[in-house]
Amino acid sequence: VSDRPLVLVADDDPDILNLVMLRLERDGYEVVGASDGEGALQQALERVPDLAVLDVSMPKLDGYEVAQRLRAHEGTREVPIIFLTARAQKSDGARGLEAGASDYVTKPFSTADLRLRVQAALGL
Amino acid sequence: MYSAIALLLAGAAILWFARNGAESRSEQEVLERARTASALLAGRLQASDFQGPAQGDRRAQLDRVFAPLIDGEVVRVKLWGADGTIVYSNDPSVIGTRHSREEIKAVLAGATKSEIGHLNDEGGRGENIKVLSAYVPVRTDGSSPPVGVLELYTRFDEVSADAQTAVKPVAIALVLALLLLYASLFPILRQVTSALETRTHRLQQQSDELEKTIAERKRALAGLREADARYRALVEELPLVSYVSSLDKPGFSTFVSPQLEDLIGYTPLEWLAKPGIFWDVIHPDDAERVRREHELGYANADTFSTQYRMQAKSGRYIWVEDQIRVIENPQGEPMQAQGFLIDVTARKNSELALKESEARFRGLVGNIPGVVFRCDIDSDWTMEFLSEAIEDLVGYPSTDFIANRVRSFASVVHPEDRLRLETDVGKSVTDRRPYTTDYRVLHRDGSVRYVIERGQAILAADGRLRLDGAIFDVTERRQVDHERLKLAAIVESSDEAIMSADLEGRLTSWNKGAETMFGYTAEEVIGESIAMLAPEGQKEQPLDRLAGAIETGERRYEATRRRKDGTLIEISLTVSAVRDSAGEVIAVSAIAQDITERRQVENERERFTRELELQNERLLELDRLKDEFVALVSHELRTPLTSIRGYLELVLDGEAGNVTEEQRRFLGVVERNANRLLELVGDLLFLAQIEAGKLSLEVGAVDLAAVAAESVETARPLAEDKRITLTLATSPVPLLAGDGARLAQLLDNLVSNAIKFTPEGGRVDVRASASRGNAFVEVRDTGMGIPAEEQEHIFERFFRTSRATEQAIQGTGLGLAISKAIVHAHGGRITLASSEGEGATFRVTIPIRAIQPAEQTKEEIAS
Repeated sequence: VSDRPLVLVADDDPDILNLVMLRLERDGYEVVGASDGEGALQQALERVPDLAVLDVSMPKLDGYEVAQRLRAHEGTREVPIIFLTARAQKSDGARGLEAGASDYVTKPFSTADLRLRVQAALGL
Repeated sequence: MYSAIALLLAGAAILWFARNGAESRSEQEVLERARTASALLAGRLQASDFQGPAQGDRRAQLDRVFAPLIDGEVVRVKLWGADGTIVYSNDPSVIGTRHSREEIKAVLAGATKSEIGHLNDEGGRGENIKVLSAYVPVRTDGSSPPVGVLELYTRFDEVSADAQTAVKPVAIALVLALLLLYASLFPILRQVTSALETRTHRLQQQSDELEKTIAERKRALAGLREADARYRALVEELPLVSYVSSLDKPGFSTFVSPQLEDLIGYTPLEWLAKPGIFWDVIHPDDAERVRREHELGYANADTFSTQYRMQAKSGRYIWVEDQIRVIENPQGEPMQAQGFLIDVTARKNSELALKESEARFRGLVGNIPGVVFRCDIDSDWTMEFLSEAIEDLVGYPSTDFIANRVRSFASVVHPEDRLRLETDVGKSVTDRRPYTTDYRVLHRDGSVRYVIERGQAILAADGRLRLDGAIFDVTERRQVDHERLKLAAIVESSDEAIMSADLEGRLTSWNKGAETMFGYTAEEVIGESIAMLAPEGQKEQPLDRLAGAIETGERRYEATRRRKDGTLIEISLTVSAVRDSAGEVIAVSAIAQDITERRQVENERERFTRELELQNERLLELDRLKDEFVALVSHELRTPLTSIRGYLELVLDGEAGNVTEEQRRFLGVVERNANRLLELVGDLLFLAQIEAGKLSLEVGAVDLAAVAAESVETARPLAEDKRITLTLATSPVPLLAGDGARLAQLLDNLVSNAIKFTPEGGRVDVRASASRGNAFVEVRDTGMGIPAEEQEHIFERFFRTSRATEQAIQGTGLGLAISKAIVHAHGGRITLASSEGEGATFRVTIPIRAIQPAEQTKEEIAS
């Protein structure tokens, strides 16, 4: 157990997953990853993260559903969520916000941009 | 003394009478017997039997004929010829003897004769006994005059003896009794006789006087009776009913003559048996009037007459004339009414008929649609009669023309036609034939009317020749005829098929157009059913349509018809009902156009349209697939590009160790191209959304001037690279409802385009302003400009100007298409002003719309 914030990252594209995890690890966060919604939910329930970065379109459970489940559990209710979305329409982002997201990042995103948003979400 | 002699004489007379009476009675019997024999023999005797004495066979025959007659009482028969010859007898010895002709002649003339004598007084054989003979005439035929005489001899003894023996003693006794009676009563008788004689004498005188008086009376009475009979006969033979009626009760007859039965079917007996019947049979409409007339007439003791109807027993009404005279007694007091009833039904009826016929004549003349006249045959046409309809024709009343009172009829005949009218009529009079002629008349109002006149010269009752005729106004008919001719000419010359049919669908007219269209001549189709024009299997259709047109007045439809040569044609038909003046449908007319070609063109067009629609659908489907494809591809491209860019960043940030200058340069090229690719993907995705109609704006309050300023600042490094002067001029623009990101994208596009197409050292000026509810942004450059022919395509996607291609200026050709879509999504417009080599100016106009509270909220959340 460290005092570094724990960030849960979920994306079905392993390159994107690695990229985000690598970036955030380099930035000094403790990072756990999942390649689908179910995995993400499981991880989150095993160990409640300080932040969840969820891809919207994932197999099994999509990002929105994961978010809803997290919001449904007492322990994970307060976890901030940042969605990663490839959807062009901004309404997708809006939907994410409604599902309880703190923020969203549209693919393609720059890692610098993501870094800033993660910091903001963690209140750092 | 006289009486004693008279008594003796009477006794002698009785004796003589008694005897003679017996003889007389016998003679009668013999005569009767002879007549009977004569009648019996008439059929068996012949005229020739009386010409001369019977000989041989004939005599034998006659013997047989007469044999039954000789019965002992009758002892002999003789037939006498007209000349006094005995032609036959049962005693042959007397046949052929001739005696006095006078006796026979007398019998032949009708006298009968009988006498008492002896059998052989005129010869003959046998015992000469006393006989009674009777002569009677003999007829051989019932109606012919007697041809001879039959004499029958009977024994006298037998017949007379009975009578004599019976009568003689009685007669003698009677005579004696009378003598005795006379002798005893003589003295008394004498007194009585003398008294009686005196009395008788007086009575005789009175009687003579009476007789004289009675004779006179009888004569007078006979005279009266005769007069009465004559009167009655007269009265009863007159064709009238005479009656007598009491004065105090009019109509109550006391006498009525038998003709009453002929008049009204009641016998006088029936009539008189029902007092007051008169008032039952008189026509109710006449009763009151007749009662008044009678009362008045009686009161004035007048002679008067009246007419009324009486109902005969048969129920029929009879018009009678009643002529009444009040009879006065010798003292001059009215006594009774005497009247005659005459049947005037026929007269009345003829009067009524005359009246009716006059009225009918007037009515007829009045109703004739023309003018009826009778005139003299002179140059004025002097009118004796002219019906009132003339006023309609010429404007002057008919009275003007009668006897040329105001004007002559000739004066209203058109001057050019006067001579011809005279000629035509003159010819007709000469030929003694009716004429028909036409001419013009001048109306009072100056108009000219066309008339037809028909007439004939007739010999009038006064022996003069007159003209009887009628004039008909045909002006309108002429006009109608002219109209009809014109119409007929139009119909005939029309290229359209025009035809008509009766209500049963038989063709009644067929113009040239129809002949051309259907190939049948008028002669071939007139009278035929319109069904003949329909193709097989649709024969009943024309008749159905016809019925429809009759019902609704007019029908338009298209149909297939069969030409004479068998080819089918498409026609457009207008069928109209033809009505008479009363509005009744009397026929149907139709106009047809051949629309075969039009139909073909239409069919062609329809097929073409269908094909186009199909293609369109296919294209739309393709388009949709393309959009889906683009969206999918774009999405799938983004993820790998994100990785590419992310890992590049990591490398360039030195996360993977130091990067040499050369590595950094090469990786820079990779990053730049990755960005281009991303930009392209973004644009494609955006366009796909727009075209799919899925572009939605994130509406918020936008400060367009600020957005413009931001775009200018973003582009400044690029401008500086090319030493391009980039200026911004803004005046305050009110906040407007819009999508800030999209509007920024729009202005970025425009500004970066301007810099891209402006050569080094040029300038780009950006201005933002607002005016009258609109926000304006203008981006002007000093670039190469856009050729006029390319300007209209500049906003199309993937369009690149020729100059851009020539100079290899990078771009996807999507920027302006996206720009235009963003502007339109905001309800604005984008325009271009440019000429080649002189730069270009893009001008965006967006209406300033206040933001709605809901939109505001969303914006706030989004930010």
